[in-house]
Amino acid sequence: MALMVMATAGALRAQESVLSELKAQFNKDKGALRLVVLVSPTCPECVGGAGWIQDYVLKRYPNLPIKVYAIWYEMYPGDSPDDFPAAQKLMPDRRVTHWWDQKKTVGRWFHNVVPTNVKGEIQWDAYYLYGENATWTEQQPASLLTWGRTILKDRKKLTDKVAELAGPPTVPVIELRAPSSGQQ
Amino acid sequence: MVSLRSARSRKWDRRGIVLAVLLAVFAGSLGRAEETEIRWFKDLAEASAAAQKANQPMMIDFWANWCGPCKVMDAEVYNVPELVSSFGEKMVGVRIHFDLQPEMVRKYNVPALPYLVFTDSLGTELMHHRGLIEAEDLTAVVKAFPADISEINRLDRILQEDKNHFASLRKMGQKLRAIGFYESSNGYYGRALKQNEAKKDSNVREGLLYEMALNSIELMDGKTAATHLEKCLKDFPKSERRTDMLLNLGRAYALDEKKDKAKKSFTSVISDFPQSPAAAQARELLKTL
Repeated sequence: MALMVMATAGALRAQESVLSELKAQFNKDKGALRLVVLVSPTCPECVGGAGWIQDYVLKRYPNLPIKVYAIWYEMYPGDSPDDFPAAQKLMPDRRVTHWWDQKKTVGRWFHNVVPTNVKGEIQWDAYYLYGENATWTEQQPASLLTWGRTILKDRKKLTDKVAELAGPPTVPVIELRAPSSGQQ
Repeated sequence: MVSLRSARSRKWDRRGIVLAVLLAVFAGSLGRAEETEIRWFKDLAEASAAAQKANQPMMIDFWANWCGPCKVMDAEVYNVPELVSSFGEKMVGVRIHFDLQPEMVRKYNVPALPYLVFTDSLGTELMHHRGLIEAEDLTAVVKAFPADISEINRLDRILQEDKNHFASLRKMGQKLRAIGFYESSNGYYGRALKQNEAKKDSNVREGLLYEMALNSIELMDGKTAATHLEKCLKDFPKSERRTDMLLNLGRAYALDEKKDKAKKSFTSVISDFPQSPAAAQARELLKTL
């Protein structure tokens, strides 16, 4: 029982620190482009947006110095931490760091501090792209290059900005997948 | 009389030709007008019958009313004229509602929406894509298909009777490689490699392994390509392809970010076969490392 309490307390402390962990990681990765992605793990638009970033930004620019911070939290009916493992697989690229934000601290923070067009108190289904020199101080990180919500609705803004900074994609065509061997 | 009848006949012939041309132009404009959107079948069996009749591939689009990205596909992808035109020429489309045909969802192992499955005319999956795909990419996929896939259908029919039919597995791998479906091609080559025909004939085995390596390079999978090529060089040291194998091994290592090994492979090509075209390529590739 004591162990369970300790584990829960540890988990809660970890949850409270998602925003500060994100901030620390953001500053540590200075020198690379940084993309913050705020998403629900089951909302079809969010899941579609995350998959689209994997296909059209990360796969097409395999050598681009970019760090993606995917912050997942419950926004959609039925969302739960159990969905987090599957959600992470949508963006398996090595440049992506995933967090589960039980208290939605990051979504709340972005809603209050950074541009938003969402009603309510929490930003979600959104992305924010920052330049390589951006530093996250007490205020919002400077050098916001572009942002969008919903991810899919504003997806072209993101790829246009990446292309402006990095040139045309190095992998020009999208990769289709073969059926698993059992199906073929 | 004969000449008069002939003259009248020619006059009517000309009128007939003019009328036929006008009708053709009218029908053509009607045809173009109809092609502002993709024609979708709702039933796979009906679509397959149409596809088999025309020897065309099918694209199965799994969708649902609640799927936001599916709505984006409708609004921004499926109405792009170049796609609609290519699709109409090359492909039979089927839309399957995710909630209403669960047996289809199971059959094609659909994990999420939108989900596109490209099949031969019989409905055997060749490739798939999960998630939103932009119109230009989908158009490129559609255009990559040959106008007539009767050979792929023929091979599939044989494989449905005998899933281990070596010649068909190898030929299917070649066909899919030719249209750029490298991962799927490797699936068939891999199955062919397990058959006795490949085990008994080293030339055949070498050819299959080498093409699998080339497919992996196309897929930017340097690690797998290097594994295949290392095996080729070890198992077939006297191969006529040795120069190309070494050159492509260098490429594979470079893709896998193993620069020292890549340099070593390219250097071997240059020193062992200095006058070969491969050596010229190796010199260029060395500069990129």
